[in-house]
Order: sequence, then structure tokens, then C-alpha cells
Amino acid sequence: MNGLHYYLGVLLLCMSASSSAATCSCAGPPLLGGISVANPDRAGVLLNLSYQYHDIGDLVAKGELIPDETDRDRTAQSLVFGAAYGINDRWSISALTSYVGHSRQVGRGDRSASDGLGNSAFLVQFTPLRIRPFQRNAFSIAIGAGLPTGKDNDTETVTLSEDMQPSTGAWSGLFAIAAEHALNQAASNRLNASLSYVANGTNDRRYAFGNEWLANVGASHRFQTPWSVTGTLHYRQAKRHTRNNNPIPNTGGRWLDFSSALNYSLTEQVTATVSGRLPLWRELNDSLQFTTSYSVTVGITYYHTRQR
Amino acid sequence: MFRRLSLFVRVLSGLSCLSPLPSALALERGDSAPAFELPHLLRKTERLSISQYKGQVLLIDFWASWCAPCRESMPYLNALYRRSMGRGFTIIAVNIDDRPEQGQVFLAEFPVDYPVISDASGSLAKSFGVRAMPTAFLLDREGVVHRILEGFKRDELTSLQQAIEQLLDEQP
Repeated sequence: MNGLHYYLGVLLLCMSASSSAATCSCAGPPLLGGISVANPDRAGVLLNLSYQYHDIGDLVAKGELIPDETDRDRTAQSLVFGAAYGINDRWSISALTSYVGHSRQVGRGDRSASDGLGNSAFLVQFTPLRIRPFQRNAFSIAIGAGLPTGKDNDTETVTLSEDMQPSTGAWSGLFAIAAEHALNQAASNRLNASLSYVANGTNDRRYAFGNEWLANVGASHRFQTPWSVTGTLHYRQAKRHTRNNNPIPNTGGRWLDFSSALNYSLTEQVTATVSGRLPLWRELNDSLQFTTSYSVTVGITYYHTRQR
Repeated sequence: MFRRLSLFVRVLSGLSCLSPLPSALALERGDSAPAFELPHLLRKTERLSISQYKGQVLLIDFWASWCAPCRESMPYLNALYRRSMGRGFTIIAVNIDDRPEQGQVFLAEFPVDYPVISDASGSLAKSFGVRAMPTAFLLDREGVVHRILEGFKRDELTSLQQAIEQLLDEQP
């Protein structure tokens, strides 16, 4: 496949998703844990649309999966639109917004559901190093803010809990660094790592999602065809949520997930992606939490480069 | 909070000053191409200099053996070269493989009539600001960059041919 978009391609920062949607207070990971923030070249424009289906069906005591006798069905879905623009070869800005839907049913009980505009995020990225034919390393730093653009007071008979709201209702601060190393001149084999931190604010109901660290380590391979694959380990550590500054039990913990993505370059500018994510290990706070069983994401990315 | 933000901004500013400036070095349209002299890819003792082609319209094409679209572009460029050679037009191919023998194997499969030089260290690619494969720079008779083509797109070939004809028609 054409090497053009690959070299002009972007260094992706995997950011926390708390920037974009409410998490499950029962310790489900952020809905958009796999979102990526791009930093295109000068005057480059990147547009991305992705859909994620997230099943939050595992009942975990500390680190042990236990049977759920309540027959609980909890899912979350999100549609995320992101755009990034390269101010120059070092500085870029990106923004993303989300539409989020939650659904929860316990046994044969009534189903609770909500959907609507979720959080949005705005980031500024600095990229002093990019992978080029004679530059094997890339490095990027991003700082930004999560904006509570959606509703956080969705009501059925009563106001739904925070984990069922499309938006967190609170601002958040985002920080991330990412690095990538090409193992060969063609940059067809790469290693990447990123670290990000999200500081969540408090919403009008005095509720705050726990601050989070996310660390990702991955590898990618591009075939001599339009296909490429990636594999990534995701470590996430989240503090307990709080209300009125008091910690909420059965929230927060540590997770280790594995995700794999398959990418297909439809054209030089358009790439389609499908990925899946599974938990490998978790150590969750307090006695019992529902958490991620799996998530699946499909997305499409358009990348326009400036003609020199 | 503000102290941390201030520290972060200062760190970014420091990095911004220290890091290399690839974009500032990249050639743009209207810039003069740098002078160079590099060995021929197939005949190591033979060196080729841009000054040998003074007054000619040049297409400098950077390519690599691992570049899949180069397999498509080089036969097209060879046909283009055959059509316009002898009228003051030349193509110089610059192979950037860090192991030049891989470029030699590629040329055995996709032979071309125009000269091919080796830039295994990447010095010329860096001075031209090459960031993608293939990348071609069309220079006028004065050695000024007239057009830059990143990647290989068939639909650009007609306009490339027209640009070459236009430059050939210009008086030196």
C-alpha cells in the first residue's frame, strides 16, 4: 500500500474517555477509552467517526469474576466525531464530541435508558518528532480540557444515576504523552507507548468521577497490502468517585485490557478500522463491581494533507 | 494549579526551542534546490552532480525498494522520460534505501533509463524535506522548485506532463 499516508500519518495519543462520556459508577471503564487524538502535519486535516459498543456485564469481586445472579444487562454505546488540524509540523489542535447511549436492565425489571450528547474535548498537541524515512522516533505531548457539553440530568421517574447519564456534567483536565518507534526504514513495524492523565471535576450534583491514569503499550504491523494490524495493552488506574467529596464505594480500581485493531486503507486518504477489547486482569476497589466484558469499535478516518 | 500549568508551558517552550525544525528545512515551491553530488546506485565509482544538468528541467524522484507505489510510479516515469528526453528534460531518481543493495534488486525488476543515485545516509532526502515515499520535485531550468508530488497519483500525470512541457517551452 502507498507509503504516503503512513509517513504523513499521525501519531495517535490514546486518551482517557472520561473526557467524553460518563463512566459507569460501578467501575466500568470510560466509554471512550480507546479514543485517539491525532496530530496531523502542517495544514493537514484529520476527521474521524467511530462507533463503540460496550458491554458492562462482568461482576467482579476484587479481582475475581463471580456469577451474576441478578441477570443484569448493561450496555453503553457511543458515537464519537473527532477533527484535528495541523497548525504547523509541530503544533496541532483537535476537538471531539460524542453522542452517548446507556441501557440497563436487571432481570425482568424495567429497562432504564438514556441517550444524548455526551462530553466533548479540546486538545492542543506539540509534536517535536515525527517518523520520517530517516527519523525512526516520534514523540508528542497533549494538553486539553473535557467539556460537559451534554446532559447529565436525564430523568425517567427519578434522575438517573451518574453512570447512566450521557455526560459527566463536569469539566476535566487532560494531559498525555505518546512515543513511537519504527523498527525499520519503511516504518511497517512500530512500537508505541502512551501515558495520559485525566483530572475530573465536580458536577452540579457534587458528583465527581475519579481521576485516572492510563498507560498503553502496543505494536503495529503494516502489510504490503492495504491492511495493517495493531495490538495494544491498556492499563488503567482510577480513583474512587466522590459525592460531596466523600468517596463512593465500589468505584475505582485497576484494569489491564488487551485490544487489537484491523485497519484497511480504502484509499490513500480513507482508512476503516475495526477493533475489539477484552479484559486481562483487574483489581477493583471494595466488594463488588460490574465492569467491562468486552467492547467493539468500528471507525473511519479521513486524512487530508496539504499539497506542498 | 496555575503553578503547574506555568511549569508545563515552560517545558513545552523549552522543547520547542530544542527540537529539530524539519518543516523549516523542507523545500517548498519557489525554493532553489540544494546542490548535491552522490554515487550512482549501480555504478559505485561514478558520481552524479546536479550541476551536470544545469539549464535543464529536472524531475528529482525520491524512492525506496519498500515503497509499494514506487513499483507503479517508476514505469510511468520511465515512459515520461522517454517521451521528453533530448529536449532538455531529465529525471534523476534518488534511492533512499539504507541498504542500497535492496534498491539494486528493485531496479533489476523495474529497470529505468534515467540515472539513479544512492542516498543511503538520507542527507539529500533531509535537505529536500522528504517526508513520504515516493516524492518528486519538478525543477525549472534555474533549479527552482516548481512542483512537489507526494505519493503517486495517476490523475496527476497529465498535469505533470503539462507542467514539464510548459517549463521546457520557457526560455532559459
